[in-house]
Amino acid sequence: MKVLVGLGTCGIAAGAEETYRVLKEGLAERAGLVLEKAGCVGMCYREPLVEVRDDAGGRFTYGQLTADRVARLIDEHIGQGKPIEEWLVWTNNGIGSEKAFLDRQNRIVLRNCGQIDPERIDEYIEADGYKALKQVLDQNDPDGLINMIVESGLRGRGGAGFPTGMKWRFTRLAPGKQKFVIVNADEGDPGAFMDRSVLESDPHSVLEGMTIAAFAIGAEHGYIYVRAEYPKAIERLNIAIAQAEERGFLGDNVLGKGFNFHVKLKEGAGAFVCGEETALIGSIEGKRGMPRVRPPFPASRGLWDSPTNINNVETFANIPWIVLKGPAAFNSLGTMNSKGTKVFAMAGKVKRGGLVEVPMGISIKEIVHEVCGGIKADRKFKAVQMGGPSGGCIPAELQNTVIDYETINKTGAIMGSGGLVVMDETTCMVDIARFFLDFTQRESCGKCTFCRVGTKRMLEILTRITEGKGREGDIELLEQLGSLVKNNSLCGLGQSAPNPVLTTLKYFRSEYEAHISNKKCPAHSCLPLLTFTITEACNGCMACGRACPNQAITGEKKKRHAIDQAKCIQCDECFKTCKFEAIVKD
Amino acid sequence: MDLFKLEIDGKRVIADNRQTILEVARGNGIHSIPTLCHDGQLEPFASCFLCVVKVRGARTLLPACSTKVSPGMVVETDTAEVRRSRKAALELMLSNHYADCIGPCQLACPAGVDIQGYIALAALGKYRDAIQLIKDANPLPAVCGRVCTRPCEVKGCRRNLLDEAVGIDYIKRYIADLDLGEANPWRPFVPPANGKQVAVVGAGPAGLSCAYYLAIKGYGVQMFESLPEAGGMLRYGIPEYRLPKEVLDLEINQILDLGVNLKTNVTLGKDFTITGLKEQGFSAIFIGLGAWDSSKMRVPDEEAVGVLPGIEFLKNFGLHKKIDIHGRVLVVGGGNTAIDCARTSLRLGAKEVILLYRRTRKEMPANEMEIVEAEHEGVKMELLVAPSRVITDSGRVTALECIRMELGEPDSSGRRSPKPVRGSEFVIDCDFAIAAIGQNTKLKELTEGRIPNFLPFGETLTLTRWQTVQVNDKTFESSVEGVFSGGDVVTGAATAIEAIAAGRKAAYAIDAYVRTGHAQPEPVEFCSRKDAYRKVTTDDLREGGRYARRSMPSLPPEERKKSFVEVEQGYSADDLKRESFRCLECGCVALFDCSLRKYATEYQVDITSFLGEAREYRIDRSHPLIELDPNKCILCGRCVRICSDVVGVAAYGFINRGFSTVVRPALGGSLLDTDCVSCGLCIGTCPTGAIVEKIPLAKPGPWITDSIPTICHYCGVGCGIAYDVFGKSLVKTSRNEAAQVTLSNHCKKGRFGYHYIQSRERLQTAKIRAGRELQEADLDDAIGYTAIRLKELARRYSGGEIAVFVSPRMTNEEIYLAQKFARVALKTHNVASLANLVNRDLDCPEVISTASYADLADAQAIVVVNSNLDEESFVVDLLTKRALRKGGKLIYIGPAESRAARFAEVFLKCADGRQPDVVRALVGEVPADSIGIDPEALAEAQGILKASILKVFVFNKDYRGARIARDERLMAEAAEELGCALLALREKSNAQGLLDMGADPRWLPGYVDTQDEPAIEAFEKEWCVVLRDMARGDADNLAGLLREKKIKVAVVLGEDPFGSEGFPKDLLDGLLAAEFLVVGDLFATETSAMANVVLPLCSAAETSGTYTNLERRVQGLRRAIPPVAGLETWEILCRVAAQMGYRFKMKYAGVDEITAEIRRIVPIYGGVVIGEQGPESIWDAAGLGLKPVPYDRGDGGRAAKAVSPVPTLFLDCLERRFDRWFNDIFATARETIEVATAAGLR
Repeated sequence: MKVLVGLGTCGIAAGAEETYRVLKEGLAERAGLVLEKAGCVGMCYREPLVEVRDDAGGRFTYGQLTADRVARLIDEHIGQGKPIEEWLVWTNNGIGSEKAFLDRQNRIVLRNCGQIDPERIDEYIEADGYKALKQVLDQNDPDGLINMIVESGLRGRGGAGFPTGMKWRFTRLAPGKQKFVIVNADEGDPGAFMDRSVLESDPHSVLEGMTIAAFAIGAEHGYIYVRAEYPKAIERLNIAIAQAEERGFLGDNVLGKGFNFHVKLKEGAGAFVCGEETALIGSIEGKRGMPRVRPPFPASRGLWDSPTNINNVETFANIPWIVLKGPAAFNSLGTMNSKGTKVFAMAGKVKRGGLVEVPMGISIKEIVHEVCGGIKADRKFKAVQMGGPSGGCIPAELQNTVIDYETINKTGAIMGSGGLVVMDETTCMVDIARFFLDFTQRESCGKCTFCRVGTKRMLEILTRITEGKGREGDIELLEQLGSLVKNNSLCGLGQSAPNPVLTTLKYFRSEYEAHISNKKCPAHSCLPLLTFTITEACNGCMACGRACPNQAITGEKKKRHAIDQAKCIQCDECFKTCKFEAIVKD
Repeated sequence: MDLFKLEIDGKRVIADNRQTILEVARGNGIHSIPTLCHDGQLEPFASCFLCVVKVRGARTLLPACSTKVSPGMVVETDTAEVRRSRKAALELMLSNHYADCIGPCQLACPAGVDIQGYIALAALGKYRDAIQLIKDANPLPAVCGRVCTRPCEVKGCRRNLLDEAVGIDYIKRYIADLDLGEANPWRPFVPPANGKQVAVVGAGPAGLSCAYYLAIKGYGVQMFESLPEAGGMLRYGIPEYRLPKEVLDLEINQILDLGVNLKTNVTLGKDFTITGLKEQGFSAIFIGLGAWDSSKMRVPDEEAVGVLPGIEFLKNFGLHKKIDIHGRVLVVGGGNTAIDCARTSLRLGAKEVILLYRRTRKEMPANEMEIVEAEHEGVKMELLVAPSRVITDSGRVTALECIRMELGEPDSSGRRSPKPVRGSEFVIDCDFAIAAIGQNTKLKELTEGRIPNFLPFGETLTLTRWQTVQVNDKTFESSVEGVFSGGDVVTGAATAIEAIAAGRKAAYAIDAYVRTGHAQPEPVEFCSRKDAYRKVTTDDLREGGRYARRSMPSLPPEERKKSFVEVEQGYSADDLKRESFRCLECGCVALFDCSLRKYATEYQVDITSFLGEAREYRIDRSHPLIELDPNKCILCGRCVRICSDVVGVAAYGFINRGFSTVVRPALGGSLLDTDCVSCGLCIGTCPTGAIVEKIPLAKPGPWITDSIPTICHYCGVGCGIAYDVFGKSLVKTSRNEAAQVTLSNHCKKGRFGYHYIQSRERLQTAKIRAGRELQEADLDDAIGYTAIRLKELARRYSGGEIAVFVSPRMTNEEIYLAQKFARVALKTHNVASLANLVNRDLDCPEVISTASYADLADAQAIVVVNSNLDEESFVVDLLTKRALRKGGKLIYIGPAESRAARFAEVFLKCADGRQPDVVRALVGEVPADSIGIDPEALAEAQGILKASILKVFVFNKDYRGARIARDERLMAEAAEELGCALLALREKSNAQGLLDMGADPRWLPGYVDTQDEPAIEAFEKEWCVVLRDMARGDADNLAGLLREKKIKVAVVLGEDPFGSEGFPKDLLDGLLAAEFLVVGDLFATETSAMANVVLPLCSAAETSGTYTNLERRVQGLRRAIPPVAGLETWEILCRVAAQMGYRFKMKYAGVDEITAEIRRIVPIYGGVVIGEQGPESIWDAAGLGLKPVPYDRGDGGRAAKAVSPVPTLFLDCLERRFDRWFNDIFATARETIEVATAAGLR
């Protein structure tokens, strides 16, 4: 029997280390029982997760298995062999409350996540790890390899969706003595954590993918640019690199085939713009992370002016699978132009938040409602925000839109790296636009005029709108600035920064107008625009009066209270305090 | 490289695929693409997005600076969409630009006079430049200096926040009065008549101003005036005690002196009509009739005797009519006219004058100072009072019935309007009442149609409802074709300065109208204003100290009443100095160099479009030469990139992200804490005023300067720079963007080493020794004296006893003349530089550069020997780094680690003096280990050289470290053997030219042997002398002659051997032994102290001519300012020669003629294209007369006698002065910082 504890950052945050420690103590004397660490299976909303694998091949995943529940687990399931049904989230024989969540997925990138111990290379090897690399080196046909990737239809998962095989081919063909492979693990979108999870849960798949790429393009050196905010990923990558070097999967003369490949880890200091490839390259070179003019593209002049292939974590994680299963297996999934699967980080007002990997071509509706179980508190689904600060909002009316690069682009949003924020009726779209713009304007590298100043001015306009100080003409000004910033910026950050504003303006213009003309926030979210009143439901418990910081609420005990509007500062405290839904805001 | 065609703005051009749209456009004369972030020598950056263009087929606009051209591309650089985008970019940049372009004083001035500019000039004592600057905008400064309402001080001056406004008007008056008092007052340039006539009707301030600006544009101007004299209200409305008519007359006469005609006592509508003027052929008509009708009080019995209209009263006085006024006078009104009436009445004998005003004193429209003066003189005030009835006796006024008023709600003008208090009537007795409550125009009768044929058929003159002329407020066009109008007749009663402004602006519009048929408004320049972002407060001015305003000396009140003598007496020179230093210099010193402002004007930027938060930063003033003001920075990164990519220092960096990004010294310290080498290239590349030079003037202007391109006179590199000149003053040195030879780069000396030029210590006059004393003498006298003495001595002594020494910093023309003077007038071949004389043993004139800078910048391998490149030849170092960035490799041979060595691929370190051995090892003559260098490194160096095609060998010909005689020849031969072109560095600007020009006893200009009879014949013909009889010159002997004290007559030009440390004493003694020593220099030197005659030479900024740089490139210098002592050096030489009797042999009309003579008889200079940037400006070494002397390998080089060269860098005073100055200012700056740090202020 084997017990696995999910020890990704999400698990750890939920207390998985404590669970692990208690389990270890509790299971110390039991023979024939292995306790293992694993990565994250993606069910972040039910962490800590513990999986029990019995000798009969049965797999039982428990959710919210905090340390206090360990004793019962040891006693009932491990000791007596009786699974605790009310805690089960998934089993391989069709039980579990979250069955749909995992079973609707199609896991290529996440194939090993939560299944193996990321700190033990043997487990990866056992799961067919480094088999693809061996195969590639045996065949010794870089061009054939590149053709295979082209044929698979794999596109860059970092966001822009450039065909990966083409990129490899350009880099291979570019003249230059020295070439480089870079893994872009500078995952910076707020709400996105696919790359972190893959690096924490299955680092070898990325190493193997990049080594295959290095062989394809003829590089001897590679960098993994990972943000310093991911200490667990860095720790596990370092372990993985050391183990791979020890086993001969990295270093000089890989697998004895005369191919050399060295990998270095570069920690980024957390500048969002360093996710842009030229800025990332500059950062590795020791310069300020600032995008430069393209062309020349990195494929011809990248790191230290040498041809450089740079792909995202998720892209590389796909590679070994494609090599082993063949391009057809991959391109049979998905739509005409978007093949394979895509990992999404689900966040916001959705019931099941976490990582999901779904085939391309699935609709937003299916992801939100079927895979992720719909909206929290069964509120009304309003929109999804895709692609993070560079992306845009897709309204509920368009929920049948399928996941496909071109189709998503048509809505004004972008596929992006896979952040998917679900919004319900209580989300103010102006405020959401403001939130994302606040992020991009602060993360702008400051180089281009429009991005540096234009986004700042847009943010100021949005802020005043949400504060009830919007002016006639603000919408037009936002549109004008948005289009200027989009068209007059050097890199993707600036070119896409206005997207959250422009898409919300496109689909939710009336919400903007309500803020500006009527000084109302339809989602009841922008506090300065709200009027707080107490209804008949008030039973005079006096709690709200105590909570009010400005003594705006008066009333006698057991009698209906009232709010003095002149004194109310719209702090929301009374609303949060009232247990009887007697306070309404409008 | 692929060549193909494309189209830009409809023009078909050919380009290659490595070029950007911007490069192709500019290369084809299309200059409509603006850019702020692009600098030609840097990689495209594409951040400002100003250079966007429309490319057919592209989804968005594309930045031209970074977009490469492609075949068949169709580019439009100036569409409406493009302009919109550029404008938005500028508006966004300027929405975060907490800075003032010009001071609020100038903004407040209706005429926009450059107040900061003229105050700065006044502070520097440059009064003539100041009057010129004032008259650019106001032709009546002496008048305005007395009567102006001074909005510049009242509303404008920021000093109001600190203590009191600067006495701007007083300063102006001082400058103007000074000029009026000159025998030769400043007069504007008047171009030849353009044949067009303009009529100006009304000779008041508006008309006079209009006439002035039309006259200086070449128009014939005819003025018509209905009163007996010109001046309008200035003459007939303003009393003498405020504006003496004498002053007015002087300024009017200056205008009439420009050729303006004035006809007086002719009245429009009575004596002539508009139609008539048109028929007479006037191309345009300006109407400045003023507002001469006093408003009525509109009370009963106003027509009574003794009730006088104010303007009428003043006018009659002005017309010298007898005026009866006495007893008690009531003046109704609160404006300047009322005050003038009151004060005039007092002077005319009134016993008591009471001013009645319906509001409070605070609301009085009259000038505060006028009110105060009136009070001083005894004028009483009855405030909140209005007349309601005139009380008469037999038709004569005896009293006014008045009513008390109270202030109500503010009206549309913002003033609280007075309301009568019912029942508060009271009576004031009086003998006279003067109504001075307002003025109206007298246009009614002109426009009522009663004057036959007044306007051409079909035309009407539209008036406003206030009965003033309706005009276009920018072009001043009235409704009648070709008729313009301005001044009070348009605005109603207003100020003189407003009328003057209107006259000038109308003149601009009239000029455009006459030339093109369309009136154009005077252009309005963009102005960034701090107050638009955040109102400036007293806190912002903390750094300015508080100093009280200098008050205006005035007549004591008791004396005033007796006469009409001017009350305000004017500033003294001391008042002026002190007051002008009170100016806070709010305007930007980069005002006239700022590309941001230029484009903002061009694209009509509205500063308010995107206003929001604006960042405010502390200005970094720590560096003694460079000031960094991040408030003005637009983050183009040019300074950051030029400092890191070109100079290799990286003193600047971007700090923070997003909107908070700022350019600061790297890691956020002050500029003084960085590795800054003070080259000043950041200043030159900054497109705004964010990085500026700290101009070492007490007040740095700014002024519109002329940029005179020239060549730096420090080292032999020959960088193109520019002198920025205002009037006759050198303001600063700047980057010369056209100077492509050194990619418009320069070092700290080129940028900052100009201060000595205008130093007060410069020799202003000549000196002649009288006994033991050197006494100042008139230059002409000194020249005469020198000539007489030299003539006599030349007769007495042989050529062998006479010598002329010239500095290698003099121009080719000066050196040529000096040697010609020596050979023709003094009959000697003894002419040389003392620098060459003391280091004769090292002299290998035949070793010259064969490489150009272009070769260096493209080189694949560079060998550097005997040079700390970045110290000695900074720009050669930059070019080397450029080659290295392109993949070139540096092999550095020298004794010590240096900054240049750090960039080396191979550093072959050796003991000083062993460099030639390393070079011999490099060519394989000696094994590496025998000289103690690393064989592997040597092999690597050899490998690099073997693998490279383009190779340059750089060495310092003037290396003063230990060296072996004649090792230059070794270098030259080794270079040849290694396949390298040679670059021989020189420490002084014209060291090469000095040899070329024949400043050597052995040869004539062009290396013609003095005994080569067929060759010297050309010289004999040109110079009209016999040269073949002269004793052969011997360079070795010249030093010997000095040592043996055989030189009896010596002329030393520009060198200071006595002040030069280490200069051999025996040679100095030789000079001292001369019977007659003439020294020419810029400063009094230790050498000049020994002279019999000292002549003041001109600096390189004060003369034209040529320099030959170390590439052998002949480059042109241009005179930027006049020589301090009046004559250029060549003129002095010619005059001495002329007075010695060589009038025709040394007669030149200008430097050009000397250059032409050089080109005529010096074959190697004959074909050179001077001032070009291509190879044709380098003289052809194939035509060189000197044969290479082979390096004598017999002794292995090592047995040769080692010499210890005499350092000659400091043989003239410039380098020493620069070093001392530079070190001093840095020491002071460091000390300041230390003190501040110690005091916890940092």
